[in-house]
Amino acid sequence: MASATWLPLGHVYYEKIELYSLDWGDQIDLSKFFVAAAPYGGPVALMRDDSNNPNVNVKPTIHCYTSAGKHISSLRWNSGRLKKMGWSHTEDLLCVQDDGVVLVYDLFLNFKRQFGMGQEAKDTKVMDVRIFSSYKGTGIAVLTCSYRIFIINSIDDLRIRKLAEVPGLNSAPTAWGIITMDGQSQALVAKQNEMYLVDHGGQYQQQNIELSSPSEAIMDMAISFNNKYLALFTESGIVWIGSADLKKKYCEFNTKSHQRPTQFMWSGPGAVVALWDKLMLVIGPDKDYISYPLYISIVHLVEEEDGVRIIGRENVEFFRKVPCSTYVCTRILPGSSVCTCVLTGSYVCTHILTGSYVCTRILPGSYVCTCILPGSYVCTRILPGSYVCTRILPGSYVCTCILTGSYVCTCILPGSYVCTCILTGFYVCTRILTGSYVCTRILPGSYVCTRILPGFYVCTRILTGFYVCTRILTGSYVCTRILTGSYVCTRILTGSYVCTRILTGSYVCTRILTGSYVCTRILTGSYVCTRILTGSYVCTRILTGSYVCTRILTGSYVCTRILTGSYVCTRILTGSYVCTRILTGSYVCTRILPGSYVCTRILTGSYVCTRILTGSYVCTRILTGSYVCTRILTGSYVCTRILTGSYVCTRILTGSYVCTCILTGSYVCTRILTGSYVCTCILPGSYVCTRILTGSYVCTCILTGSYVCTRILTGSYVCTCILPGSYVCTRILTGSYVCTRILPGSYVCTRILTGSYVCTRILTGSYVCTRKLTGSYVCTRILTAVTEQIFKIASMEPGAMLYEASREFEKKSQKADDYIRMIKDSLDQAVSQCIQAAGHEIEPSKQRALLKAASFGKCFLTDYNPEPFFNMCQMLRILNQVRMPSIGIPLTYSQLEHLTMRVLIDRLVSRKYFYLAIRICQYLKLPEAEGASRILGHWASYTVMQRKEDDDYVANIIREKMGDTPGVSYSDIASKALECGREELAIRLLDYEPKAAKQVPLLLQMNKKQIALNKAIDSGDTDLIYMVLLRLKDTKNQGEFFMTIRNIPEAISLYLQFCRQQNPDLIEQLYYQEDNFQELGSCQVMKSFKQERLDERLKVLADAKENFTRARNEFAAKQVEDEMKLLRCQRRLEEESRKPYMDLSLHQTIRQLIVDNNNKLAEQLRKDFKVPDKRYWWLRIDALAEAGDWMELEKFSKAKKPPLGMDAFFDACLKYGNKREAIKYITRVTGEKKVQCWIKLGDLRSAAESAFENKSEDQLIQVLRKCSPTDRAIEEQIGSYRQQLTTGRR
Amino acid sequence: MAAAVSGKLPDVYRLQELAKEDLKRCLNANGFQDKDLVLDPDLMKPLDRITGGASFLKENGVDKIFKLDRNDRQTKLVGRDKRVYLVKPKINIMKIIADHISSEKSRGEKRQYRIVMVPRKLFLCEMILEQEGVMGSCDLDQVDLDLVPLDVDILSMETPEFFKSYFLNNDSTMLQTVSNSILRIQQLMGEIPNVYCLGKTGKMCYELLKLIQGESTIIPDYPRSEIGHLFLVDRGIDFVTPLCSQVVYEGLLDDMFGIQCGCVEFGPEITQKDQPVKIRLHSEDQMYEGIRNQHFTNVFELLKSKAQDLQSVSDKRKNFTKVSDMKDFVANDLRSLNKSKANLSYHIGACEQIIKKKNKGDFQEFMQTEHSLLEGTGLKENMNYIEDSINKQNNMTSNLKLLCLASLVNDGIPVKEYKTFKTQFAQSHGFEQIVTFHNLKKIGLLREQEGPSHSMPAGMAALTRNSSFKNLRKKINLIPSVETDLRRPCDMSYVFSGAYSPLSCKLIEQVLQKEGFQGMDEIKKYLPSELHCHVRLKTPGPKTNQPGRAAKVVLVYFIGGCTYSEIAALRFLGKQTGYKFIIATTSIFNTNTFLESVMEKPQV
Repeated sequence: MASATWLPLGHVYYEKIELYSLDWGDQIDLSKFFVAAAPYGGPVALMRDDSNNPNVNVKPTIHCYTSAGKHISSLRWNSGRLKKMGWSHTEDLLCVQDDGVVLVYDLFLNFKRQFGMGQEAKDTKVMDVRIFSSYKGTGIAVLTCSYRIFIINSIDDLRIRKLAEVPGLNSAPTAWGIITMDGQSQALVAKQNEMYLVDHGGQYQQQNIELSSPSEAIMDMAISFNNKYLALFTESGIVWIGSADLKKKYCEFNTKSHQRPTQFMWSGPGAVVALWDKLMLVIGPDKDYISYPLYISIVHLVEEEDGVRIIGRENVEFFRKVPCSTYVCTRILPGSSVCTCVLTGSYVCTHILTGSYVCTRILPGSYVCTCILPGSYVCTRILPGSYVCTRILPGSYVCTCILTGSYVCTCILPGSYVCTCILTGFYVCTRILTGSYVCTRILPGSYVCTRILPGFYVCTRILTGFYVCTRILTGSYVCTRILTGSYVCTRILTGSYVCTRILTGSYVCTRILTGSYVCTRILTGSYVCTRILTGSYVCTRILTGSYVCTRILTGSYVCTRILTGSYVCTRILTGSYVCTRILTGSYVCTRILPGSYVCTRILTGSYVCTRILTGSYVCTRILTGSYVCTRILTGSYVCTRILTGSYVCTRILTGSYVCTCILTGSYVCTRILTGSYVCTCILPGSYVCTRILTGSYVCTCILTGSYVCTRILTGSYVCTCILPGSYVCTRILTGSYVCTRILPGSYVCTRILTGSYVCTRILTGSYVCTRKLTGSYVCTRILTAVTEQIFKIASMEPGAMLYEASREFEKKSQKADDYIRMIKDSLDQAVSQCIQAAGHEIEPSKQRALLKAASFGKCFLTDYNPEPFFNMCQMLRILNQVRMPSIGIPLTYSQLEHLTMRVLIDRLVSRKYFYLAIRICQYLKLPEAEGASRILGHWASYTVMQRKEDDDYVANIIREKMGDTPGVSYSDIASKALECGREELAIRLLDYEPKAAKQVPLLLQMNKKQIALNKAIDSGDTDLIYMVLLRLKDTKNQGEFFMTIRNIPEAISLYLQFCRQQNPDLIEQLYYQEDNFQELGSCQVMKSFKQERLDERLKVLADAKENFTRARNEFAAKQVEDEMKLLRCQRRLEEESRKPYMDLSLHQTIRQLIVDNNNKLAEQLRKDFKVPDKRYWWLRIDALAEAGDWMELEKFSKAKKPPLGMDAFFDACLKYGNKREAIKYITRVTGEKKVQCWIKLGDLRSAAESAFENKSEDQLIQVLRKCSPTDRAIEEQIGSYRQQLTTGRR
Repeated sequence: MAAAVSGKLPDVYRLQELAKEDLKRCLNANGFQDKDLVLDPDLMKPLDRITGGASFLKENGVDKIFKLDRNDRQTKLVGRDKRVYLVKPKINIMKIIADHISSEKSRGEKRQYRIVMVPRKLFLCEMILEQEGVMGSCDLDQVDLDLVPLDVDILSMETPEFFKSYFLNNDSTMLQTVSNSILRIQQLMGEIPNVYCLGKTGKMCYELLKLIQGESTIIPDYPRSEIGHLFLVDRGIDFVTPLCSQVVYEGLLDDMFGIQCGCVEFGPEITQKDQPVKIRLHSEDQMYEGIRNQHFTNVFELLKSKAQDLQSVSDKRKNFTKVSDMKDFVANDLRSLNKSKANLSYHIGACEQIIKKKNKGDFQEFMQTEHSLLEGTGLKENMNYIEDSINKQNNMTSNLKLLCLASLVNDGIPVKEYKTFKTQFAQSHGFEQIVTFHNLKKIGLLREQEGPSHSMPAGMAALTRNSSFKNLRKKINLIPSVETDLRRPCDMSYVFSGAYSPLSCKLIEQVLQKEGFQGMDEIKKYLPSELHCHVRLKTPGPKTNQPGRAAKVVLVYFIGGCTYSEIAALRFLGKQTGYKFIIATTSIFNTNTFLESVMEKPQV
């Protein structure tokens, strides 16, 4: 049996598994090497240690191996003195020199970049180095010879911070290490027996260590993988184990060794490993120990999150705790409804051990799994078919997860309790404690019914289609709650809701009519009763200076939410506002505390706009059918933009989405497209932007201390990551999963069983975790205890029984049936245990046996969800694949869960296992853009770097493989090719790029301007054309530039347009270059107006004339010539008459002359410019009339052969208002025009007479039309004329 | 959508909401809570239309609003330490902004700048800012504000400069904006299944649209489309129509007073007030809706009957017997009554002004000439009239308009006359007008006749030959054979007093009738713009399936601008055929603004 090799350490067991055998033979003696190995089965770098060798002239060589000992690459070290090697979280090799310079190499030892640790470090030289995992990635800390520490938190963000000085440190510290707590990296420095915690804010804190012999110097320290625990090694060989903040001591263990261990580290969170030359000692927190004598000396230990990798001379082993083996599992006989430990008047039985876990099984088919720390307990009540999982910290919380669509979440105060009961298909999550919260979430169409023990109850009733939803964060809360003897009963009618709260002896009675809501608040003995009429909203009690305040007295319970010493208060102070906008049937409920939130609830067709704290605001806009729910912290704001028919924030309804989460100083900006969702959370400097399409999943990206992204759709995933001290609350719709990722010091949620959900809540400083987290002290992982449960000798666990049954079945023994019968009521648990145990098993044959057992067990279950089994098979297949010695990544299942599949794929890619990576993506059915085509992109980038292949070949294979796959960017690959100096290849690849906007800049970069120009013109995007043109202009001389663009009309037009605004002179040059004399002349004509002096003006015009002549436009040339003549003449006139003449047209000039009575000159100009007679007559008539020279006008009218009729004279007189003169000419007007003249004059009678004289009926009718009702007499006259005409004609 | 079924137009104001949201985003972007705004004067009116006033800006944290002065580069703007410029992407504007920034910098004023370009950010502008060395000090952004809904059926980009920059200077930058705006419409209202491009520019825009669309991921779902047909009309296909004098009321208002962004401003001669009064012209104003598309001869009568209606309402109060009736009247009717009265008086005033103008000078002869040019009769008289008109130094634009019209209907003006006209024109209006003539020639509005006509003994003879316009006139019946009753018109030619049906609208009618370009080869031959493409995607029309919801909704996009007469003609066509038209255009212009945009004005 597997357990034969287990070694007990207190209550738990440890095991050592061989992963690979090494064939290094004698070539590599680890004792003579610096060894740097990366966690998570990462690569191993070796360099010969020459520190003892006086002959330092030999250049050392760095070798890189896989975990399985396969050689990857070597590098002759050429740089300065190497102080330390280490690996970053992206598996880059970091080599730190004594001058603080860090050189970064990739896995294949290709140089990537280098950076320094600052001038001071360079000057004083580096003495010691720590490479550590920070909350931002991989950090480096150096200790200089002047005993100062410089730290960078991330090698991707090179901000060097100098840590505070340790007081009185005048020799090297005896030990030091970097610890990441509360999102900050600090150094723990031991100066003999004193310990200091120093940070980059210039602070240092002396730490008190509870040590039995306090005067002993601390020689070494080890900080656990999760930064939670600390182990110290003193000069007399005492190992002290405690919490990282040094506040808690677990034990002291005397190793009796005065010699410092060569390596001293944690093995997972449960044990410390110290390595000496011939001994490996494992010490547990309860002072238990295991000692492993080493037969082959010199091994190297690599710390992993769940154990230690041991690199020896001949093999690589893995040392770990048998998963969850310390825990005691009590098995309860089928049919029993209660288990171990019962509290008075209550329910569940749990077994409590200090610092350990309890796993209990309760009712047939349902489970409870509780984990308890000293002094706390849980009471849960469960109905058949549901599943509860609780976890409690002293005075804290519970989080439950329920199967079959229901949930319970309970939490209880000492002596009192809450019990929630759940109806099928619904769920409730409640929790009440002083300073704690309730969290209820309900899906549409569900009911919540909270049941409370005798004397108390809360009952919330909701009618169809509505729900109650409350969300709680620190300092905020919720709705309903009751104390002794009192009750609240809230009922909600369509579209409304109630929020009430009551203290002892008081009651609230709320009445609600359709479309309204009530919010009440009560002090002891007092009450508020609000009544609301239809269509009205919010009625609150306001005191002068206006505030509303929900306050709670000690010992009372709150419904609206209470934290010790805090309260809820909706209040309005002068100068601050609550700004609420309400649409029909909508509500606003705002509650705000400094550092607290607003919780808004929304019903169909309603929206909420919440109020604003100093410096922060919310701006929400909602369209029909959408919701918004926002939470705001001080200094932050939310801006949501919503398109028609969309969405929501914070709250989920079917088909709608959530988006929220704000941390101080951060923003969320969300844009939502129809049918898609976004949820982002951003911290200063970092942005996360997630976009989700229907039916897809969310991917979160974690930046420095920032996160949260939750989004759920049916069949989709969420992935969250949390900041220490913060929390996430995720809400889920049917059939979805939550999957969370954990950063050091932060926690999270859960892994979920099929079709069920989890709701996690976290309070400051505490964590809830349903998924195993290595090294964290509170952690419930329900099914991980399985390896031991099954393989433990004489285990009566259902998993063990099922395993046995399966083996018996193989043997065709009827005992199989006996075993199955024994566990038939807990068969699903047995199956789950077997599946989980398989996951933790490294040996494939055992995996297979366990999976077979699970599969066997499944046969007896009618409605077992196959997904966990299927997923586990997938994971194992991948794990086994990467564990193969040829690949050499010995990941455990827990490590993979922590690392995530995406990172694993990235690591395969960086090892150039493209094919395997793609196959894994396809196997897992990852979307192309993130899976296969992303990898293809990497592959292509790698391929173009292979210089030995010729361009054609490379371009072809890339095209062949990638085709038009979505998510592939040819321009990215081309720029990679360009980086490698393969320009031709880059051009070929760019040809495949469909987007001109991506092609053109790159082509320009390659100096392929002509191609760039063609592409830009093909695209029709003028912006791109300009980009090329302006680049061309800058790099070529003008002549060349004009030559290049001369045959491209689009380019010329655009360039001209540019010049017109930027540099008009250039236009002339361009036209000149083009021999376009016509345009050139036109430009000069316009330019002439800008010249101030006449001679300059004439000069420009002379140029214009010449150009028009060249353009064979004699007409224009003549015009220009005339203009020059005219200008000269005008100048003369100005000088003579001192009146302005310049810039008048010829017509205007002559006219002005006539008006000025300068007839002679006018005649002269007429002759000179060949003004047509007609024009001259028009002009003269008008001018004379204007001048009022009626005599001259009359004289003119009698001149010989006037080219115009007399009506022109008539019109002119009329125009200048001289009717009397006008009449003079009428007699001389002939024919039809005479009638018109009379009409114009307004003398209709005479008009009619003239018309009659002309014998024209048409003209008579014309006159008739002009008649108004007062002209009755004329109308009659016309009538008679017409009569006469008709009779005359007859 | 349901709207289309019930005979209503798709709601174009959604575009406005969209633009408003984008503007809001832009104004509130990162760290720009309280700021000043510097506005491009060109954007003021559209912005006003979109946001409904300055309060929107205030709500979005704008403190002071400055107008960007294009001439004075030295202006000192005093204000907050954050400033947003909202401008069109033009080189000279970028230079002014750069001047602001650098002079403020040199004075040591610390300020954050953000330049928001409308409707899109151009690389060219970025480059100018970079050249001027201020790129580092400002954020750039863009706001998708292109088409402004002026009414339920009118979308205008309000960029009159489009015509010059594209048709004269061949700068296609703004075509992209056109395509983007169509894309946005499609994103809102679904992909439009049938697209017809009349003219080269239409085709270019459509190709561009396809290119941009290729990058986005909308999946066409024709049954859900709200619009069934899209016409992309190149202005170049019909220059005749904008040169015709407008006689429908709305067109006349534009000719006389100038309608800008859907608003008209009446001066004191109409309002009898010191300040000019601005009136929004839109379909919600029922009185206006009743007269806007009417031939002018009907308007007065309609106004009269409206006045009587108002009087009767107002007379109602004389019959009140109860106090409550009076109270009711004061509370409900009085305000709207007074408002209607004021409105009515303005329109009556406007009509008087229009009539005054019509009675002045030789307006009748002018109209006659215009109509006979269109009909192709009395060529000699027309030429004489034009020459006289030039000699008399009548209004320059009117002269030019007749010249262009004469050229367009005759495929150019005979060489001899052309020369005479040019000489006379220059003598009347200044010699620089030879450049204007050159511009008009480049656009194709005014040119001399080519080819064998040279050898013809008399230029007049050349005028008798068949021009393209003459052929078109016959083929698609541009000149109605029967007289139209202007009061109860039965033909869209009523918009030009029954003398001519707008070519652009006639073409649209033809295409809609024939569901494509089949049988139009004859017509194509004579169209002035060289290219026509047509695209037919899945028809939601009656032949293939059940009539699609969108089948009867038509979006007509005039690239290069259109007139109110064309809008009226399309509305009329809609009434006649049951189609619902939405008109989109780069700008709405009239003959004057159309011609003036390409005329040369000397800058002294």
